[in-house]
Amino acid sequence: MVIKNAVMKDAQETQHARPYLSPYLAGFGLGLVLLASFLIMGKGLGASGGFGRMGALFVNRVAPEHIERLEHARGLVASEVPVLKDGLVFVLIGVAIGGFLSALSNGRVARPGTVERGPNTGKTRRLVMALIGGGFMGFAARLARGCTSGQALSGGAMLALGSWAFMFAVFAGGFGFAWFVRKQWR
Amino acid sequence: MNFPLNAFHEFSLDTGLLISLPIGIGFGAFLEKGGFGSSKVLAGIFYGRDWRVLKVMFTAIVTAMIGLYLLDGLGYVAMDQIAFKSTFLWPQIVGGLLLGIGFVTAGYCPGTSVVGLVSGKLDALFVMLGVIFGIGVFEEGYDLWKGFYTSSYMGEISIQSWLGIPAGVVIIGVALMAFGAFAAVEYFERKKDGAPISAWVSRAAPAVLGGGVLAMAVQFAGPGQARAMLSRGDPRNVPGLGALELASWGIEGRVDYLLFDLRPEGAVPALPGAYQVPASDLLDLRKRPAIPKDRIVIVVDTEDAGSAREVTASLRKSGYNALYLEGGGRAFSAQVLAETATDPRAAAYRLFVSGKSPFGGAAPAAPVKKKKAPPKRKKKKSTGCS
Repeated sequence: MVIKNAVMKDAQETQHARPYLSPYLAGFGLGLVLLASFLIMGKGLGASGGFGRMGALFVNRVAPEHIERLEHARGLVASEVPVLKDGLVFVLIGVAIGGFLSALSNGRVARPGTVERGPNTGKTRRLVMALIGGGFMGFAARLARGCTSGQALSGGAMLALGSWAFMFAVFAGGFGFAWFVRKQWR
Repeated sequence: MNFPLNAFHEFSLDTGLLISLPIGIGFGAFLEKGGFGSSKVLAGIFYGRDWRVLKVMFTAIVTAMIGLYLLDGLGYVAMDQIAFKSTFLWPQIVGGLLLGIGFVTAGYCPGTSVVGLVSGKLDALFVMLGVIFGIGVFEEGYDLWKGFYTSSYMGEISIQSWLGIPAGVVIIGVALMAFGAFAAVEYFERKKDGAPISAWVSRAAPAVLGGGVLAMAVQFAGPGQARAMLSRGDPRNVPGLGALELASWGIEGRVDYLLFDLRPEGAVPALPGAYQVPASDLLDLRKRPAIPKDRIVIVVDTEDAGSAREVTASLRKSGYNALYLEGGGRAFSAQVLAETATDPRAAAYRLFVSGKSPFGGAAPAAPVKKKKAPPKRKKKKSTGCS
């Protein structure tokens, strides 16, 4: 009952939200941004790379001696250029700004701390799932050399073979595993 | 060719960052407008409840694909200067499966979790923390999965080169597939209230398929690079030429090839008739000398392990018929130039180059002009945003 009330309240918070843009228009806009990235920067968009740099910075702060043992992260912090002074990080900062401005102007910013979930899922359970799911994705994005942005979207538009294999695998993994985590949305 | 801008203009690190920011802002804004600030919308696709993810993603891919290959077909884009994702087939398939599992569990993918966070969602923050943790786990245990991570490497291979068909055919195929997927989900969505789909089809078909047909036509007719790049070079698979074979080309007096010796001037004598060009000049479009396209280009380094394969791959990407000298200059010295080399071709070659013509057949008939860089084109490649 308490949970149900909380969910109701969350719903009320955002009830003045404007409806989303047509998905085709949003996709068209996204495609033009991606095209601009290709034509200006000579590469596509990426998200997980920026996350990796944030992680490397964190490890370097708390355990600088440890990072020496990490083949990839070592190179990031050893460079003369600060770890976060990187295009991928700035893309992520831009995503945060652009996402916020869009959510704000459309009345879609939820009360901070909102945990989206189904009516039968507790906050803690949902947050644990988010953390675990995120962990899987971080590992997977490194293994696949990119995530939905860098591989599926950018590599897909360039018609890279592996990016398409990746994209179909993402859908296969998601649809195949959906049944096991269905309760958190119901 | 004017694009990508970073290949023809020097961007400082700060300029690169300054450009990345608005690109990111546009990225984030359209993700949010598409509904990707909500895990319920994102996860909805995996339960057949909400197909926005599929619609937004495929529209974005088709839009960028048509735009890129259209501009390439018209000759405006140096496609080989746009970062192409190398294929490591199995790591990408397994990574994709794991990412899909993580996606449906987390409700966000890494990029959209940022949009979720700025939309006030606490669960999105936990996804972000999880992603960073997962990357950390990968780095920590790198030695354990290094073997798998670097397996099934296929190079910078596109769907068209894998299938051995023109890019234009793949473009129209992808557009048709996206249109089919859109039509299927639109049909399912309408089935609930019994509305007909014909109105949607009549609006969407010209946009999706018209763009695809246009890009395909331009690909077939235009001077695009993607056509010549049917096989984007893989340094491991570029074709080579044996030292003795090159010697016999020289004896035959062939003039249809050019030799590029990557070894630094003065360190070792260059191969007879070869141009000494540093690898960096051949890899960088702005510094690459103008090479006649009808010549076979032979790239020579100290050994195979040098930059020869990389340069050969890069030249092949640009549409040149490039080969690397197997075993490099060292093999050529041992098998051809050394007095101890007894193969008749080697002996004949030595006689040939020491005889009347100082360059033998290896001398190119027409001189290669060093391309004068226009004032706008600067020398060094951008270090920003890699």
